[in-house]
Amino acid sequence: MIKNVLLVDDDTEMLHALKAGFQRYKESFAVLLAEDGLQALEVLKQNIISLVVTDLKMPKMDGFELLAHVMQHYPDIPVIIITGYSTPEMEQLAREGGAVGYIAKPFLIENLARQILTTLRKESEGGTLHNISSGMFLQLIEMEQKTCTIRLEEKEGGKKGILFFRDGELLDARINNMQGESAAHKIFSWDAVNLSIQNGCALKENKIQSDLQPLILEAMRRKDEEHPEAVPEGVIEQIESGPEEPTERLNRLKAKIEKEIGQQCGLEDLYQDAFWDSRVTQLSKIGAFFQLGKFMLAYIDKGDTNDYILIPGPKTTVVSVDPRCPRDKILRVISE
Amino acid sequence: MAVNEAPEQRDWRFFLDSLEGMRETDLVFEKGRIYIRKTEIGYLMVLMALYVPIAMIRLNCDILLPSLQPSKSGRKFGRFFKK
Repeated sequence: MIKNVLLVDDDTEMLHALKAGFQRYKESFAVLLAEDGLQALEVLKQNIISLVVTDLKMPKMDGFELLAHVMQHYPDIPVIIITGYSTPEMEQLAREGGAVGYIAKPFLIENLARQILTTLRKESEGGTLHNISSGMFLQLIEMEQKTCTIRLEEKEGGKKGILFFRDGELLDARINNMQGESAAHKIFSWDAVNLSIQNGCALKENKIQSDLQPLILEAMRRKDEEHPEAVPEGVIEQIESGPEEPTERLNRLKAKIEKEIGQQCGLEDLYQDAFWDSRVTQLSKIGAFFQLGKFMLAYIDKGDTNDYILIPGPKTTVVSVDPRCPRDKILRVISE
Repeated sequence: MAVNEAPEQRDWRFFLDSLEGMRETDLVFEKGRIYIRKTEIGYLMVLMALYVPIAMIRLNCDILLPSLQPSKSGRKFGRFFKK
């Protein structure tokens, strides 16, 4: 993955000289330029930046202000300070402010390049993977309760994003100026990605409240809605298209089960719940693959106190049953 | 049983994600059923006709599954998670 390095300096001649000098490293990083701190903020919003190299004395917004902004809003992005007014006090201030490197001008381009490359290597210290499905890998991160920062690049479109994990929990996601759950949904919808793993997570605060699995399912649902697969006929149909109220329908179903099977039907509860809708959609497609026709219902054993029977419809109907219920009988009664 | 495309060509990721958290699933379609059981090495999928007694399928799974050995895990992910 080619990483983006943002160079910030009001000396435009030096900026362009640096950009030209870094051409030999173009396989490792690309260079973006900004002439002051405010321009740098715009670049940070529009791009995934791996490293900021900034001068201190600049108009509009100086290097210290930029450093503070990056530390607050992009704590995962390291900052290297370059300055022509170097003093020990200034260096101490910069490091206390969070800078990972400090170089006094004048400097050799190769020295700065070496520091950039060393800093960028940390992004992949945990390793890189190419052309994988992010969903499966990220569930591994959750299972292993890892703390890490994952940078992803969509293989097809080249879009980039970052995921922040602490003890297996997804704290935040970022794509350009999008953050949180909406950024996570976008990232999880990418088919094949290259990713690099950095040990550690600069974020402390959890900005995403949902668990990983519902986020992945929601991303898939949104992706399906944007680009629907051609669904063969008869995959999902409504149970009833008539004007019957949902409550009446549920009561009728309950009465039918109890009448046909009796007291030992094991029926615990019966309700409608849209939470299962996206799963039902995915499960139904497998029937189309095996040419089994219309999806009627699913019996789910999650190892909970109850098992669940899912009936597709405008909103999924859920029949909660005792695991010792006569499963075949109940499924036959419901599907008739 | 005929299928629309070869199983190895199908993208199974979304389907597998939808099975997350399930120990066993019995999917009933118009023309058949699919029994899915989570095992140590992956998901077992059994295609059945409509009126197969599920208890016999489960019993046979209980008998046969312990004899399936998990494959040796490669280094693909292990090297990222050094303790």
